[in-house]
Amino acid sequence: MTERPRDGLADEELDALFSAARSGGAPVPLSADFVERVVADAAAERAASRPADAVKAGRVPGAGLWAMLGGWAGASGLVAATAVGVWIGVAQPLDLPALGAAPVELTLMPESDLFGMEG
Amino acid sequence: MTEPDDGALLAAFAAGDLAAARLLTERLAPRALGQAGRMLGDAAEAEDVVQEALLRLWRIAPDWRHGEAQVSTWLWRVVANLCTDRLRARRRGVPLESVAEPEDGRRSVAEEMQARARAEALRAALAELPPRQAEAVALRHLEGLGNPEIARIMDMSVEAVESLTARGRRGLRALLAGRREELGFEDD
Repeated sequence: MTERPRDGLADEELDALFSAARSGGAPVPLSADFVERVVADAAAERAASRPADAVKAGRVPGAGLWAMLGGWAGASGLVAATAVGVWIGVAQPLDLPALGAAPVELTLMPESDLFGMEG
Repeated sequence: MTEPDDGALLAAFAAGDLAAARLLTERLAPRALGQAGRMLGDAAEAEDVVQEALLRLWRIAPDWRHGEAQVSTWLWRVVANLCTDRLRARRRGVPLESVAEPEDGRRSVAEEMQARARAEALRAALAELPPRQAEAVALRHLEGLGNPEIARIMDMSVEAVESLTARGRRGLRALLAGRREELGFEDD
């Protein structure tokens, strides 16, 4: 059944427009010239992406992490920082008194000189 | 021997096999040209669109994940998208007379003119719809695809497709309301 609101096209009428568009858009034949243009695009795209492919092909596992660390410069800094950390952990602070052996008193504001009147 | 599927051909192209690109073009382009031709009504523009869509395919070939999506499904979507863009661009002043040419010699001149006018009115109205609605309506009513297939192409649920096409049809009927007489529709 045709449904046509007062202010619109009926469904059947809209379908007639679709039908006209389907038949009006006649099949576009696949010409040899068109295929050659598309294949030329493909060839150009391959040529353009070759350097990127070479980089991809030479990629080694962990290369991303290496780059994230900043390459040689970043890695050498990391090695130095690690060595210092190991040294601090291994070296004994022999000259310091054992902190647990006796309480340490430290007076920042002597009560006898609260107002800084002495001296 | 079974023929390689589209994804395998695309992978072969990505590995440097240009013959695979040619084979893929010969396999995919005819249908894509038909789709673009129906949406645009212009053979030269249809070729431009399909060439552009395939160029995009060549570009993404190295990153294509074989098996995750179908090349043909991807192409439906890209062509629909590019055609919608073209239709919307036409609103900025391409004269109606420069679009479409009669192909079917069996119809009378008057019938041909009316069919062209109807097709162009529809395309102009499609250009006024939101792009997703226009794409869904074109895939449904110009390409004759089922809702499940459109859902795959547009990466949405079947219900969303039904809603889009219903809203699209309503929009078209309203947009074309003032042109009934001009398009050859008369009241009973």
